[in-house]
Amino acid sequence: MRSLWKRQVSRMTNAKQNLQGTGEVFRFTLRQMLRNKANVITLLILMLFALISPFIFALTGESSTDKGGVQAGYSAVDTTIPQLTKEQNDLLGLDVSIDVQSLSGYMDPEMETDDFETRYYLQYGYAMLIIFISILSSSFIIRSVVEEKSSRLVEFMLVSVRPLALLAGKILAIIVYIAGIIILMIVCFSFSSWFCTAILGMQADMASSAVFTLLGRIRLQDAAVILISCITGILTFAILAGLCGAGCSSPEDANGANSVPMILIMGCYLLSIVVSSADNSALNLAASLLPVLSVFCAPVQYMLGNIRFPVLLCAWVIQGAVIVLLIHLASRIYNDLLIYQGTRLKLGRIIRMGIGRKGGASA
Amino acid sequence: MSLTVSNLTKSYGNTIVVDHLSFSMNEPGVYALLGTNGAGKTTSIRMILGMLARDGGEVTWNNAPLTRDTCNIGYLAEERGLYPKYPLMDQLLYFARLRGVTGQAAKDRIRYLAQRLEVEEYLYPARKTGGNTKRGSLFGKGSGKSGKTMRTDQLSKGNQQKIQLMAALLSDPELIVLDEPLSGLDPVNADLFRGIIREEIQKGKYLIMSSHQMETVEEFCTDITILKRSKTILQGNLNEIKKSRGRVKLHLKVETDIAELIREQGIGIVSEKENEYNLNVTGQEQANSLLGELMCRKIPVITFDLREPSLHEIFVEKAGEPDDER
Repeated sequence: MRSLWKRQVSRMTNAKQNLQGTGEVFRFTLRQMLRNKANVITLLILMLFALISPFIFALTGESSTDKGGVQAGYSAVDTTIPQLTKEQNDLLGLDVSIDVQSLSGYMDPEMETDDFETRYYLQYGYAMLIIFISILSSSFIIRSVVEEKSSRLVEFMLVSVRPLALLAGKILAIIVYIAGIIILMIVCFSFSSWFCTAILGMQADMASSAVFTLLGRIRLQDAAVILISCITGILTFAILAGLCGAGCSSPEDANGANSVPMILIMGCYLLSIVVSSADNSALNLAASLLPVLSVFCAPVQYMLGNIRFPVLLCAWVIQGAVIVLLIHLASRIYNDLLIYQGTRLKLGRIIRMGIGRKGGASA
Repeated sequence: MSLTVSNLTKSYGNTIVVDHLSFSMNEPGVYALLGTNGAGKTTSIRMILGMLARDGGEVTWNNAPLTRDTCNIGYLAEERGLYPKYPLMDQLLYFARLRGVTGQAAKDRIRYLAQRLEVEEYLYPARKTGGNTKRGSLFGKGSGKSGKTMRTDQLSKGNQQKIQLMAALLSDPELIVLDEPLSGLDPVNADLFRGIIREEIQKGKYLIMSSHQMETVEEFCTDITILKRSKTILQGNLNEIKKSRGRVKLHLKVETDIAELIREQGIGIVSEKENEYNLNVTGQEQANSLLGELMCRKIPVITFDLREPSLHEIFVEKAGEPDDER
């Protein structure tokens, strides 16, 4: 029992040592990302999009409101009917809005979530969020790792900091940077929306847009589910990107390395859309539990009420185990990969290296 | 303090790249790790520093395994680099913090090394005073005269190398590993590097140096190991190695052509140019015999220098000719 305890303490000490320097790497990477001109321009463009999109929603919303349907018919002709009183004629002249609802939805509002469109937009919206964050973070991580490798700096760095700390610091900095971008975009979007309606008085049928439909439906517990699932997804793709990046020796190889997480992300996205559209309970359960794919499917299926919380928890645990395995793999071979110079190592070979390796790379 | 490397072994598949390398440093000084290309020098250094997993053997510093935590290590890698687009000062401060040197101590150390290596102008650009310094007008953007610290890609290769040496020495390391420190440097910058190396030796540091520039190794190193195809082929104190070979190298300059006479004496001619000869003799006796013969024939002797073989000559003899390389 005592030896087991000692072993655990030793493991924890090693883990702590392996992550020594993560904070410094994190601060430096984040500072340089914020200073990078290309990143600043990207951020400005995204903020601009976030600022102008409510105006676009408002303009397109106004032109396509239901006034153009029934109300337009009344407007085209003289709507004053002599047989009616003035009040009745005025009532007819008012703006008409139509909200179409299915009978089952009217009878049982809970059933409304089974609506195909809702399922599609919920899956689509969540998947878009994951795709945006994962692709952006993966490409940033690969670029950052390859930059250190191709500039031959990494060998010098490894004397000062452990490889896992180098990777962890980068991943955290990049995730914080991207989270910052998203928060800024949300702030810009919200401000612009408020400005549109409260200041300019633009009466857009915002609810018709998928974005607002989704935002309106998300509860606090859903937001927590989305956040946890996003974190597991981003960590999975980020560690994978770090390993793929470490298998490159030159910036030219980076595109090839980027394709691995990209294909995985896009593949999972397409599968998640198919699963969501199929609306098959067995398929929903399988997709929610399957590692990596679960990142895209499990939270949506939970929010739609297709799976229960224990299943979602199970999906998180499985995905967590995948992340731990990836970290373990990274700690075993990341050092060797960083030293490696030559043709790009493919993911299969990297995994085989990790399995075949007898022990830790660094002393 | 002492460094002990014992039975360091590494192989890739069936190819052994380092075969039971052992040496030790029991006092401060410079240890040279020499060898032909592909002999396993850089792999050995990487294993010593714990960057590369070892198949066998161990490395200890004060009888404890050598790690980042047990020893303050400074390393100038053969494949050098810096972040190309980041400001130099940011990079140096970052490297210092990673080594546990923070705040004013880091700034003071950077300032000192910048002065020693004559790179202050790139790290501490002139501030704008009055109207004399116009940003970007004379030297271009970020030239170091605009009040902005420069980026790596704005420096010459030699100056980048100086910054890299600075980065290696930021934490005032106890053990300094220099892999080809002078390669690619002009004579002026090479002298600056030599000055820094000399200073570190005087401070009582332990240095491991790998270089193909034998004159530099000879200038600083007390002990050497020569590797050839992963195996140690010569090891020991440089002076003792030289002494053991004896005075077998004769540099002779005379006023007439004596090539025939030299051959008659059974002496090997290494090189010959305008009555100036580099000869291989068996020892002092044979050299004196040749000198006596020259006296007898009344041939005026301008230079007669009998010496031990240089490290370069020992290396070439032991490691083989260039066509022997892998």
